[in-house]
Amino acid sequence: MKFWQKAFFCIIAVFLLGFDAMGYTLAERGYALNREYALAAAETEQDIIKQSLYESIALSAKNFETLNPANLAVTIGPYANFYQNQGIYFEIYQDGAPAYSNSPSGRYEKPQVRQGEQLTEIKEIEGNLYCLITSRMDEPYGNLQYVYIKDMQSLADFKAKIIESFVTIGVVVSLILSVAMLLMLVGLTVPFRKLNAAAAEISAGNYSKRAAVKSRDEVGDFARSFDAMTDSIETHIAELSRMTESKQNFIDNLAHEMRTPITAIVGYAELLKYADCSEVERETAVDHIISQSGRIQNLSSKLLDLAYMGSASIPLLPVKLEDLLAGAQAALKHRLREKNIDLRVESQPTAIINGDAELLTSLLVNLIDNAVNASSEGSTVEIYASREAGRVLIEVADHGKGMEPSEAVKIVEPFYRIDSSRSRSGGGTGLGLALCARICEMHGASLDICSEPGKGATVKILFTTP
Amino acid sequence: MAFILIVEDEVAIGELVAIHARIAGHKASILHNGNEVMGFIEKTRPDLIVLDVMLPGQDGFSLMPQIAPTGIPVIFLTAKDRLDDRILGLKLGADDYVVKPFAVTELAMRIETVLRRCKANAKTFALGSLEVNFDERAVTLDGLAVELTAREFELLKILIDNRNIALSRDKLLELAWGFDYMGETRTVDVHIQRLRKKLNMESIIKTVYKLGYRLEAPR
Repeated sequence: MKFWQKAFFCIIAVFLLGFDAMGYTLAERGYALNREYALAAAETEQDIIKQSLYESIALSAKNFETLNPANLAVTIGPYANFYQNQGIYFEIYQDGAPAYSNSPSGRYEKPQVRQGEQLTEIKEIEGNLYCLITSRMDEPYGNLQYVYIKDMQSLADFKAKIIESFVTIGVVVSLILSVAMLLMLVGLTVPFRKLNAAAAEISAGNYSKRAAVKSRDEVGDFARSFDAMTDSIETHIAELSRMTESKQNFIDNLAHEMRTPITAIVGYAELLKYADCSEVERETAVDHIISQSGRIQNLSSKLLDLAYMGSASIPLLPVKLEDLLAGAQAALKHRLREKNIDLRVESQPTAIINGDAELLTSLLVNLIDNAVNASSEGSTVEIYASREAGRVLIEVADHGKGMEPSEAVKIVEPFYRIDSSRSRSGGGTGLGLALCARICEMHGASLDICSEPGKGATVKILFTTP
Repeated sequence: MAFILIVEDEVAIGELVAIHARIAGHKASILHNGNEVMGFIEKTRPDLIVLDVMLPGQDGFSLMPQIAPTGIPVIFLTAKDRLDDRILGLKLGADDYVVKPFAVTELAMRIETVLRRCKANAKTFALGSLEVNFDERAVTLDGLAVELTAREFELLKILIDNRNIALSRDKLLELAWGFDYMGETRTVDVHIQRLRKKLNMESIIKTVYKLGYRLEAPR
């Protein structure tokens, strides 16, 4: 059963119970009060009538030798007829025996009282309610017993009517109440349904769905918490899928990068095994197998470096910039000579960086190697190192082909190629700058690349922690 | 003999394809940049182009509409293995689409098939007094017709397509009988024996020790 249905039935039940109990109590109380008044009035009336009867009997008694039912009837008759129209009936008993009656039942009720006593009772006769008041006449007619019978049906009718009214009013009011309450309950539970629908949609995978309940009550508070929760879930899911996507991209790219050298190695190996090759072809094949294997080796070692740096935290020790530059220059001596490139270094010899000497050397080697790759033969690569306000800035600049500024941002992503066809014939793995970015990150340094097509590129690394 | 142009930016792959083409008795040239292709074609009119898609300069897909009017058959050789790319490649008018990494034997066979389909003179193969017409499936020795079973002809065709390259018994079984053939490599030996006998090819179809068989033809 739904909440609004429960609320509806509970409220209707409580209302009907309360309303009917109230109605019944009011009817009972009203009836009791009315009866009290009616009885008091009846007693007074009975007293008056009895007095008048007594006087009439006393008057007429002089005309009769004895009082018997026949001459009593003559005296009482006119009174009885007069009061009968007002719903009042008489019964007279003489010495306990019935002497006169115009009672509506046509029977004698035969109540018995002693002198000075008065008996008041309410009786149902022939389906009608009557009030019977019995007493004896004053002496000398103490042997006469007078019964006053008054029609009290209106009292019973009154009670029945009140109860009937209450039932009718109860039904009408509960109908109106039902409609009003249904509207109200449906209205009040709108936010719940909204929340429920939102939760269902979110669990179906639409993380951008919000409940957006505007009310200021508890439900509104709950909905706001719910939406805040969904916000954070959405952010996390987006973050997760972004990470998964970049991992997937990485793997796709890696597979692609592995494919070319492997195809070449397998192809040349098969050639050597199956084909009737000339000596020159044989040599070419072996050379290619060696160089392509070296490419895979280079790729796997860079991958390992990336994986290692992804997990480890390194101790930061003071390193002289001078030593780093010397190390990088030594490592690249052969490469520089090969392409006839002039490496110019301008640095403040005293600069000191806190970091891992090996990683920082690798950073410089990678950057200079990239610069050399981009440069044409015989050009220059420049390195400036300076210290400002305790922060060390290193710049590596080349005068090579350069790139669009929009490319310069993406180039640090693993395996990113400026132009999808640009091959790795230069020997690059596509991981060099990704490694550099990672090393910078580990040293709390920032890496920026400024470039314009045809104007070369400058990589700026700023070590923010002294 | 055909002249094959290989457009491939990876030097190692390009040379690999070129060496195979030369072993099969063709001439081959390699280009590394898409921009050089059209000029080269105009000058030299190659018989077949093996074209990479991702190239410096103009890429393979954008070169294709320019190559198509010349009528030179094209085989795409690319790492782009998505169905969309294959369909695009073939829709642009390429004769075949080979995905990297590829087996060189497979590429060699595809090259021969395309050449045979597109070049009238390649529909026949002649070696000494032996002549093979692939369209008619007819073989003549010293001008006399030789009866070959369908399987024997298929085997001969494979050996000719891969001339100067040794093919293992398993490879031959796979190529001539199909992957699902459950026979033994001994079947290959029997068929080769028959071919040698019928065509007088004892000295031409060589047994390569521990490897398989090789049809040797002058380059």
